[in-house]
Amino acid sequence: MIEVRELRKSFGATVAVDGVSFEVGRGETFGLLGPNGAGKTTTISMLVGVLRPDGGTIHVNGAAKPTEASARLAVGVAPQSLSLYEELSAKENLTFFARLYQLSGAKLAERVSWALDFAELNDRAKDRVKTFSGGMKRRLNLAVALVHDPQVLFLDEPTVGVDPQSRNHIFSRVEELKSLGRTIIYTTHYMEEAQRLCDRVAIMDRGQILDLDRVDALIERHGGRSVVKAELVRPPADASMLPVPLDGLSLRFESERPLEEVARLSTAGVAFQTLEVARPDLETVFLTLTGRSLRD
Amino acid sequence: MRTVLTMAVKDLRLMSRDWLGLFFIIGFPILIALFFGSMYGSMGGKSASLRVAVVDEDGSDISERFVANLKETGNVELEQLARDEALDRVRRGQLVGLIALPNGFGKTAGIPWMESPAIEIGVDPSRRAESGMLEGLVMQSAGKLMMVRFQDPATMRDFVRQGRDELAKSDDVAPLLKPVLLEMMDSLDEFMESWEQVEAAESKSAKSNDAKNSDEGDDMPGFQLARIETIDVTRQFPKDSAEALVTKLRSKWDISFPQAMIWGILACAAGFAITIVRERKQGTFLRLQVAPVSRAQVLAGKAMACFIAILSVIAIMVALGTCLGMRPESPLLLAVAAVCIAFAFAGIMMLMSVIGKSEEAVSGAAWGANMLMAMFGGGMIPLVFMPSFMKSLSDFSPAKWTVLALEGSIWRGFTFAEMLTPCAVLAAVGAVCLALGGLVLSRVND
Repeated sequence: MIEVRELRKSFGATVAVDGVSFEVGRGETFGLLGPNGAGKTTTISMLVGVLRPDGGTIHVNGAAKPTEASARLAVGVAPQSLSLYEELSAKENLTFFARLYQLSGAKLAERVSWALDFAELNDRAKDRVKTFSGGMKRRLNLAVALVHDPQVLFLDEPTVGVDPQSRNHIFSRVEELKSLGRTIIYTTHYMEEAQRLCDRVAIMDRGQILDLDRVDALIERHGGRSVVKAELVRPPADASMLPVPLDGLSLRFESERPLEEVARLSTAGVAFQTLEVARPDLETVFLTLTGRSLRD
Repeated sequence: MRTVLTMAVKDLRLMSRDWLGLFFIIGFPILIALFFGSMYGSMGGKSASLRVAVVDEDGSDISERFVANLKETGNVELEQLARDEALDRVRRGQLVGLIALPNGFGKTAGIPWMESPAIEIGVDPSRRAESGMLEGLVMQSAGKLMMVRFQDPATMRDFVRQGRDELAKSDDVAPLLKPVLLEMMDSLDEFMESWEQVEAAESKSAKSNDAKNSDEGDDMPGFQLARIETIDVTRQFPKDSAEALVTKLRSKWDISFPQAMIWGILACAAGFAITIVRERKQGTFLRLQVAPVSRAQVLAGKAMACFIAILSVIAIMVALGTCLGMRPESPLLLAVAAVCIAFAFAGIMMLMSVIGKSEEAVSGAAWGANMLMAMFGGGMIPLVFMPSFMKSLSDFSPAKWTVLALEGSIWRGFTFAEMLTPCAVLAAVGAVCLALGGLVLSRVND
């Protein structure tokens, strides 16, 4: 569905995207995970034909260029910034953008109605966008990208600045789109979003893809072992059964099979006051790959 | 085209919801038009009575009576002058016109069966609207002369005697008929004599009342009360002088409305220029870019919205001006001017939108440019009253050509050929600005 080869883009001396390559299959949800300034939005901008790459090739939906009409019609974009006309109502925004995709008549009405339903804004359809909350605007921003029923959807940080309720709404809507077989490119710097929604994730930093695979494969490859942290009720009679020496009553150790290890200690009579098992995640993967946190 | 129209409608809808912007586009120009129109009121307004010169070259009782009749109408202020002085003062715009009564006027004026006397009328070309009224007053006064004639038996007796003498001398009348006619003329003479005696006994006031109540002769069909001849009055002001131009004004709104329209037009251009940057900054331009719409269509949509808005401003202002008494001389030329103006400022709008990267920058720069254009283009000081150095500078302001095109069709009385210059300049400005602005915008990457 999407094929990107050796994509490059610089702004003056700043290299924004440096030899990015990946493929996204039909119906796949592909995540671009990286901190702000990693090059995610620049990559998306080139994929949708807004920016001209300095080098590399892009194929979207069979079109050799993303600016071709067939590619444009097949693609929907929900930009990171809220791209809506605040003085128009939700319905007017949807109708206007749908018309740009050559929708008219009954089909137009049907799609606008569907999009309002999708964004759960039916009761506010005629209200001006400027009166909406941040979450409502974010939902409408996503609905506008979908109003022409595109096969490929680019979602650029769709949950930035939204309340938890709207975030959950967006998650459930993206999952609904996945189930409908839409191809989704999802950029985020929230690892839990990528972990929950994406079939495969590319870890980006400083314009490059550091690794790309399924989430579990990435964790397995770069996440390392789980960390077990515990506070004991009292020191065990036989301290040698512990994997590491106690620090007072605190115990901290790494393990590839943390639950099995905890079960073994419990059976041996170790009494836990508190227990925490931290499994490796994409944050750990990113830390391992870049030496810094996603939110640095 | 459908896409362009869709985008234009969206922009016009957005414009209509921006109340402050709308005020500057239409409310502010209306206030300017009314304010300055009231200020210019004394220039284009007309006094209740016409100031007219009378040149009485006949100097007879009848010609004096004619002048008195004219005064009695109450619609003219008369000044008795010599022909040259009268002409001079009309040419200088000090008098609306002149009425000349040539030698011999009194011989035949007011006598239905004799040839109508000539009355010469000359009217200031810029006061053509009043010439009809003046002719009407002249005819009314000439009609009253006829009643004077009939009410004066002595005069009528003279005519009867004169006729009898001519009949007696004539050989063309049949011998049998001649004595009959002579006898009839004698009887008429006797009747006139007795009437003269009765009239002499009546009071002067009674005579006066009778004269005032006898207007029937004015409308008597079948003969001419007076033969009006036109005197060519060519104004002596230099053709393009302010004085010469001011004489063409027919309403106090003639200057203020074109002057005010330029503010609305400039507000449209600045407003739409700002919306282009706003779209770029708020991200909606990105949505337009990823849609199956070319940049040319996006820009054409903006230009069309601006074009329609400007046409609407002009139409609203013209309609309002017309309600107040402004009378565009050539609606067709006004329409041509409006189209050229809208095209020019749609292009200027496009160029304005690329002079800054933020809304604030474009807004500031656009209004700065607008102020300059208005200052030197007739938005502040009407073109007519500009000092010469400003007039020279104004050639560089599209606002000047806008005002000129509007004034040319509204009151300057431009011919089609004269309208070509401002319209061609505006069309050229529009084309160049559209091309430049469009080119820069098409290269902008967000």
